[in-house]
Amino acid sequence: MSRGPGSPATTGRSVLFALPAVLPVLAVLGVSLTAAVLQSLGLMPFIGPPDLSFEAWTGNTGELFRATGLSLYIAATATVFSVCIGFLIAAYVLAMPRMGRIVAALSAATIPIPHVIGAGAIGLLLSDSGFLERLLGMPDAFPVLVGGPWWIAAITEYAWKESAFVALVVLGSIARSVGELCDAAATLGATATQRILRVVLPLAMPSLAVSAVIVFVYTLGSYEAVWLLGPTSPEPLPVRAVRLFGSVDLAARPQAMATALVSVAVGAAAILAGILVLRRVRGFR
Amino acid sequence: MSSRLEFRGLSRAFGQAEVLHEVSLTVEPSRCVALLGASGSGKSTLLRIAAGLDDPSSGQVLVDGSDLDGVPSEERGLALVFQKPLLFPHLNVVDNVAFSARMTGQSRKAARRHAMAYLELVHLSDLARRSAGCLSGGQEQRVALARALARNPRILLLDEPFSSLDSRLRDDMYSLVEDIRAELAPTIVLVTHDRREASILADSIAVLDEGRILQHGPVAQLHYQPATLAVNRILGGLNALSGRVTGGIHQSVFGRVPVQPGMVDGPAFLVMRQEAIRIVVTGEGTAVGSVTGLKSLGAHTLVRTEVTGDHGPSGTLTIDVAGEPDVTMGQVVGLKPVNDSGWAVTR
Amino acid sequence: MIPTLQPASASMRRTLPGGTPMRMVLGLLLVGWILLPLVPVLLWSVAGSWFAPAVLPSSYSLQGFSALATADAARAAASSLCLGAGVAVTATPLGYLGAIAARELPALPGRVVELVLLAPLAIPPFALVMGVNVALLRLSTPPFAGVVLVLAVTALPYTAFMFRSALATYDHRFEEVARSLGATTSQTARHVRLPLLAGATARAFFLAFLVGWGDYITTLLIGGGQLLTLPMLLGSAASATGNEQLTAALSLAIIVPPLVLLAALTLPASRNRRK
Ligand SMILES: Nc1ncnc2c1ncn2[C@@H]1O[C@H](COP(=O)(O)OP(=O)(O)O)[C@@H](O)[C@H]1O
Ligand SMILES: [Mg+2]
Repeated sequence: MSRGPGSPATTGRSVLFALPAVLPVLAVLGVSLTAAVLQSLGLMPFIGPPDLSFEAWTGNTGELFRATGLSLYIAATATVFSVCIGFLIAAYVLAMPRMGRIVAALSAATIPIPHVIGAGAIGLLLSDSGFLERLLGMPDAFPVLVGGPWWIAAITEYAWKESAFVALVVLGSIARSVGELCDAAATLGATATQRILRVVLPLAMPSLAVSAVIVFVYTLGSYEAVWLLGPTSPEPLPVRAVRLFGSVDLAARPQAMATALVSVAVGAAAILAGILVLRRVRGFR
Repeated sequence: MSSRLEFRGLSRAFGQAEVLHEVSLTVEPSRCVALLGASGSGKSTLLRIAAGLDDPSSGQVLVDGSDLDGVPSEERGLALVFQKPLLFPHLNVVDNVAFSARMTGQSRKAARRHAMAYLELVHLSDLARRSAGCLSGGQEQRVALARALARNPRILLLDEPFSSLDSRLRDDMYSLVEDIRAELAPTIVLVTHDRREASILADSIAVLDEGRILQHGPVAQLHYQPATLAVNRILGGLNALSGRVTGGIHQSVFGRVPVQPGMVDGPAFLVMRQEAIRIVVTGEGTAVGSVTGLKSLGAHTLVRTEVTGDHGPSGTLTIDVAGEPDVTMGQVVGLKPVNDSGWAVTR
Repeated sequence: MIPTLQPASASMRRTLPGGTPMRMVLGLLLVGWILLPLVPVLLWSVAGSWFAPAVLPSSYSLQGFSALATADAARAAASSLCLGAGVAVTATPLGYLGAIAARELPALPGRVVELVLLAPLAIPPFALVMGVNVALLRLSTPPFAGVVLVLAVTALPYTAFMFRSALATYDHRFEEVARSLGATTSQTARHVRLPLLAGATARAFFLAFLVGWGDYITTLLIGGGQLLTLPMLLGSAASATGNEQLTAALSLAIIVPPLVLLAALTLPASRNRRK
């Protein structure tokens, strides 16, 4: 990409362009994080005088840890499934001329569907005596998927929505080059399986890694599916935060903020880890 | 380790359009055949079919007499170097060359050792650890060549591999191909649209035009004894004078020229390469012409003359003269064939 | 949004291990995976009564859709539309400006602008809203404006990314060529830049619209129940039991308009490409 000439005039104009985009982001993010920190420490109470207290952070660490662990489990599992299924979709679309086009169109068409709808749909599909159980003839051994202990319905919803996203990202990044490179690999003696594992997969690796980080951070902080499809307890971070935030007990506010800040921190850590891994992947090349 | 490659009655149609039509061609072991044709004539399609990347509509590809139908590319033992280098971006130079050895299950170390030998062959062992993305065009193409050779192919297929290189690099690549032929003696099919490249590298040239092989023969034969006007044109011949053959003699404005034996009497074109005509003083030549154009090609000059005579309608003859010719526009000069006999074609 | 696909090459086709039956099975599995969750939505939206263990409804009716024909639902649809439009109208030009700035600034400030534009992706939406809510209340911002502001910030990474990738392939020498052919600055903008960036603008607008149209959590937390949108109706219908028809009808009411828009945007383009 060619940058414009870096003359002072251009730079000045660019700064002017950047301000309307950058300022709202900085303002909203800055105010939000600052206010969250202050509120979590009791320095910005809803009513009454400010009073520094670490109660929200230290008071119920067990529950906070459990919520964090649960959120990590849900996000990690959903990410693994999304990435695997997304790669499968992308490979299928690249390999099959006609059917692939249909799969690509269907998969892309699910992207505009909001998560709250996806959660509703998965609820109708997987719930007790839902569509899937009826399709299977109401077996006695049908597991509790919605509201069950393993959060399967919520994870399925994330995997359903996000695998389409992963497929879109992977296709966008490798569709142009992969056909020719597979031709080259075939003439060099690579079998079908070797072409998938030694050519297509490494080529898709950077885009898979980037989309994995995005999916992980997104599912970590997403509320709708875990709220609609999960059991009432234990609570993952978003559900806990939203419940405390809406609580009539004003003392719950600082705890809600602490929970929100923990999820921000976990997300940031995941992004940092992702960047480090990506560096490795690139350096490995 | 080199093999005989044979195309037998090979056709390929994409929908309505027939891209290859009944192509038959044999390449003997360790020979190099150049497939010469304009772009869009079906050259790449033929190579892709040979490599198993595309299937023919009808016809066969045989290697050492056995039909390759249904054999997947990876088991054919042919290596194809594409027009683009197509180096794997996730592998460095040596791992690109080691790719085929890795595919056969060799350890990384053994595969790399094997690859280094081929990198030395293309004079790139210094860049073994470079990432594939940080090479110049010529280096990329040399790595692609080494990668193909490292497979120990029975047959090497080259699809315009040098067409994106500048002329000096191309000359380097030509001597590299000579080295490779001397050292490994693979059977080579070289696809090109450049007749100079075909003449330099190949033992014989097959001319492909709109999906048909027009002629296949040694380099000199293609130049001086083309089968048709089209072959003459594709090999850069500029002269074809219409006239008549009677009793083995072609008559035209150029006079009476004995042609190849076996020509039946009737209308025919006299094909004379521009390099095979000399400008002489009027009276000494077999014909006279007036100079109508001078075009410098650097060390050579093309002199265009309008030839009129009593043996037919007037015609244009172009003569390739080394250096600066001693003629001016409008001057009347004598013209004389270098050899006493000529070559006639009927179409 | 659907990437242009090269025709799958023959060896790519042979790249899927297993024979034709395996590929058929895989194709059916993938289509099933994508479509299966939508089947009960479609069926429930037209079901009259449908009791377990029946696989198909025992009677059909439009009661789900008729439950949508209320003043509340109409108001919710109007709010959703305004929200989507408001977010799109705000985030699209801002994304364009940000992308231009990131491209034209020198390396370091350009990177900073890029990072700032991507930063909202890293913050969970509920956390963003919870913190900012106090400030919005203290400034007594109307809920609608507050939601649009926060959602525009959420949508900015997407719109900026769309313009970033379009500008990456948009060679600004096109404009230099136009200038050298005698076009004025404004003619260049109208005849070169605008048509070349039209696709990216449409995609960015569409994505930003979706952020507003389908939002649940931001509306819930900032609106505090005052701002009623279609997803809010859906959330309360889906969280209660026995509302399957209404849930399904609402889902379709939210999904179908953007899909029609998407089809209208992409189908003519891909048809042109094939010609
Ligand atoms: N996959 C394909 N589908 C349709 N037409 C094709 C395909 N591949 C090649 N062609 C057509 O076949 C003709 C010959 O192509 P090609 O073999 O690439 O020519 P060359 O390599 O000699 O330039 C061209 O007209 C091209 O448009
Ligand atoms: Mg070609």
